[in-house]
Parts: sequence; structure tokens; C-alpha cells
Amino acid sequence: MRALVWHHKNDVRCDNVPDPVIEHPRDAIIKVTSCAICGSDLHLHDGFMPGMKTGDIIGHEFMGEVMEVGHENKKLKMGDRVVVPFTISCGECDQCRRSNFSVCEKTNRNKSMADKMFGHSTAGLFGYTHLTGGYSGGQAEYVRVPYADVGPVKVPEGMTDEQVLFLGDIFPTGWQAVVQCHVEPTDTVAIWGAGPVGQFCVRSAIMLGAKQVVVIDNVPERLAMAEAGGALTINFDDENVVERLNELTEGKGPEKCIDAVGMEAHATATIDSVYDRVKQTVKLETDRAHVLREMMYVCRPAGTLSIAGVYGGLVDKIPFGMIMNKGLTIRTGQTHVNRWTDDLLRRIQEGQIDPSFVITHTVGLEDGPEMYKKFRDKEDGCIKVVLKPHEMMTPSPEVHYAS
Amino acid sequence: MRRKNRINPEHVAKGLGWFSIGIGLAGILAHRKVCRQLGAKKDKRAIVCAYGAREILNGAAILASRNPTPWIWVKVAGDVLDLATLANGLKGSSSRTRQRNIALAIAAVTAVTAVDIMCAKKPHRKIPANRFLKNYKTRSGFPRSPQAMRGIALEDFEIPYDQFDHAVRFPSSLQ
Repeated sequence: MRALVWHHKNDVRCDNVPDPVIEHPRDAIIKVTSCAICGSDLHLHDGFMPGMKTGDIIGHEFMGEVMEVGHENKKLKMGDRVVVPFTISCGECDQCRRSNFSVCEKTNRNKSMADKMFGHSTAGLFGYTHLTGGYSGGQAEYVRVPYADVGPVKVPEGMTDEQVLFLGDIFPTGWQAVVQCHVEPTDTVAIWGAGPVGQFCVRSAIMLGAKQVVVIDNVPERLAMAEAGGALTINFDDENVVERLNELTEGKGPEKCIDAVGMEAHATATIDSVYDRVKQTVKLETDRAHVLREMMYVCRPAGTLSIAGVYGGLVDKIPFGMIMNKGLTIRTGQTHVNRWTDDLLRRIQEGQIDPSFVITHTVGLEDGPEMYKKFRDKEDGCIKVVLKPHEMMTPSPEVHYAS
Repeated sequence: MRRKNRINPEHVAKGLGWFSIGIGLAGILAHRKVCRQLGAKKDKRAIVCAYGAREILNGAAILASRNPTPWIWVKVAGDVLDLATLANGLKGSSSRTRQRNIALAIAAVTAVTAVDIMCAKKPHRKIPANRFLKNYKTRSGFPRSPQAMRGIALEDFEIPYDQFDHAVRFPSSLQ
């Protein structure tokens, strides 16, 4: 089969690889009908995520049709259409029973490595670093889904791939980022990053009743999309973020701040971001923490910082005294996808939201490597790329744009 | 078939960045030797160290920047300063050996300057001028206006117990 394979930093290729097979009686093999490139895939592409190996099949946002089921799997049958959460959960351990699915105690098959790195292991993830199990990902024609009697969400009749695909990651991620802020009707929610997760944070904050939603980015088309969802916008190239946020909150700062950027912040005009870039380049830190520092500075005392953006390792110059003295609450973590999927699927079915609004490019799998670069460089108005592994699309490098 | 240009300007820029850092470190660590070879007096050691520090900072900026072009032009300006300083040294030196050393240094800096200029002129990754290609102003994802959708999920959504923010508690005197 064909799959997108990580070779080295900035080197993702569409390769022929062996087909997956059932390895455990609870497994299922899925024929991938749609998959997407996620912002956190870029951290792998750009070489900032430790624990990658040449030959890893990447991709953790995917859905498709069940082709084969292990004999212990009573939940799925051949022909079912499913969306697969990016977190692999056993459904049985202490954490899963508390619905903390992204920190499942059982599914990380490189547990000892993760224990050393993080103190305690977290869940296995598809198509990601070997620190999270090194499972083959879903940017492929077929994928093996372990513990397939727990995670996969069955797609009701009549719903398109585009409507439900993002239930596997970015929609629940945006939703959880807002839910863990516990938004009050009087709150201003400031969101750093208007990428795909940021866009879903905006919609979630609106649906959960925030008084005011403000988005910070410097990409005009992304800011336009955030505005369409009901946000006020700040272009950090043109305006001072701290001053503008204080203006919008009568000088008090936003109560709730969400980081939808993560380790590769691009605020090039600030001293701390130049400092981060130099340290990251010479391998003295792994993550650029400009957004974290700005959130900590501008957040209203007793406010909440919700961190949905992915961080991989070490950050530097975090003003912890500021956090302590202001009494800020920090909430973060990979998304407990299955905690939210039933509720969000119902909302999509009821027409409260159509997540396909975020798709800007739909291409074949063979165009995946090129789309990684377009997505990274934010070219052609690229916000969200969907790949169709089994559809013959117009020969590359043409790409199809959503209307 | 058109032959592909195999030189990636971003790789060259990165190489220049590391080269700058290397030269800068060498300038600082071996400033005495550099001064001796070029026939500079002891009071010029600070200048050699300052030039070394400049190279290191310039190299770090090239490596750290998403668009290194402006920093490569800064490097070119630094090269010109180096050349001017060396030319001044050449004028004031009477020893043949030192004149030869300075001439060699000028040749080397000129070669590096040429590479710098070539690299600075190549296009690097930058924000395209026509970037606002798509108008996404109508892509709300909602069936009605965002204002009409505000709070819609609150009708049937319960915040999970572990996501609650601070419980509000007042002392009896304030109740």
C-alpha cells in the first residue's frame, strides 16, 4: 500500500510499504477514506519532536471503512464507517475509567521510554513519536487500529467524511481547550493561533457562551476565518497584543487564555522569540515558548491558561513567579478524544456546527509531501488539508480547493 | 528537460550561519594570534574580539531567522567593514610578511563576501506577496450568525467535575 513516511527532518515521502495485518484479537484494519494533516504533524515534519525513526508512517487524523476485525472485537464489523481518535485507549485502566483517555496506562508499547522521559507513561498515539508507542499512522491507504473495540466512533448513515473527520482530533481538541477553561458568560477568551485547532477553539468558545472571543495570529486568511466564527482579531504584526487585549478588557486582561500554537511560535519581532530560536537551533531547548510567556503576562489574575498546543520537551525563561503570584490555573494535556466525541457528533448531526468549514485543500495521498510544505509555509491560503488515499485526484501538483 | 538547481539557498544560508559562528569564535579565542599575524598592535585586540562577537551574533540570527535574507545582508555589511579595516592595516604595514598575510585575509574575506552576496540575492522562504488569496470571511461553520449561536451548547452541556474552575466562596460577612 501507499503511505506517507517520515524519513528525516523536512523529508516526508509517499512510499510503498507493506499492508498492515491484525496483530491482536481486538485489532481492526481500516481502509482509510479520508485523513488530514494536523498542525502537530508539522512538529514531526520540522524535526522538533524527539523519538522519530526513518520509515515511520505518520498521520493521526483519519477515518475509513472497517475491512477486517480481530475475533475478540465485538464492537465493529466489516463495512462499518468509523472515525478513529488519535489517542489509543484500552478502556479498562484506572485512567480510562476516569475518561482520561489520553493518559491511558496500557496502550503505550514503549512505556519504559516514556516513563524515563515523562516520569510516567501516557497513551499510545497513532503516527507519532516512539515516545507514544511508535504506532503506524493513518496517512496511508490502510491502517491497523489497536484496541479497536474502544476508540473508533461509528459514523451514522448519511454523514459525509468531511463532516465527521475532525472528531478524531482537532474538533475535540478545540472543545476541550475551551471546556477546561470553564468559560463563564462574562469571560473574554483570548486564543493564540488561528490554525485549525484555534478555529475550533473559537467556535467552541462561542457555543459555550463566552462574552468575547479574541484571536491572535498574523495570517490574514486565518484571521478572516476566525472572524467569520465570531472572534475579534489581533494581527500581531500590526498591533501590540498586550495593549490590545487590555483595551478589550477594560485594562484587566482576559480571564481565559488558550494556547493553540505550541512549540513552534513564530513571533519573530520579539526579543524572547529570537532568544528561543537561537536556543532551539543550538539544541539548548526544544520548544519556543513565546505564547506561554505572553499568556502568563496578559492573563487576568486568578485566570486560567489552557494549553492545547503541543510541547515536546524543555522550555526556558518561564516566569513562574508571575504564575504563582497571579494565582493562575494551568490546564493542559493531549485531548481525551472519546470523552467528547458522542456529544460533538450529536451536535454535528443536529446542525449546530459543520466542521468542514475549515477544509481549504483536498488532495490525493501522493500530494501529501508537497502539502506538508504548503501547510507549514501557510501558502495558498492553506489552513486544513484533507488527503484522499483511495481517490484519483488531478495529477500533482494541482490541488483542489474547497469552495 | 530543465536541469534542477541543486543548491538549496536555505542550506547555504545555514552553512553561512554556522561559518559565521565558527569564524567569530576563532576570532575571539585566537585574537592574539590573529593580531600577531596581521601585524596589529595590542590595543587592536579588543576590535578583533568585537568583530568576532559580531560574527557570532550575526550567525545566530541567520540560523534563527525564518527569512535569513536581511541577516545575510547584515553579514555583507560586516564583510565590508572587515575589508575596510584590513585595507587600512595594509596601508599602515611595512613588513612584507604581514602585508602578504593581510592580502591573503583580504582575498579570503572577498571570497566570503561574494558567497554572502550570492546567497542574499537568492530567494528564501518568505511570506508570498499574494498570500491573501482566499477569502474565508463566510466560513463560520455555523448555521446562523455567531451571535445567534452564542451559548447554544450550554442548554445541554455539563462541565465535567474535573474541569471546574475555582469554586466561588465568600466569607459570611460578605454574603
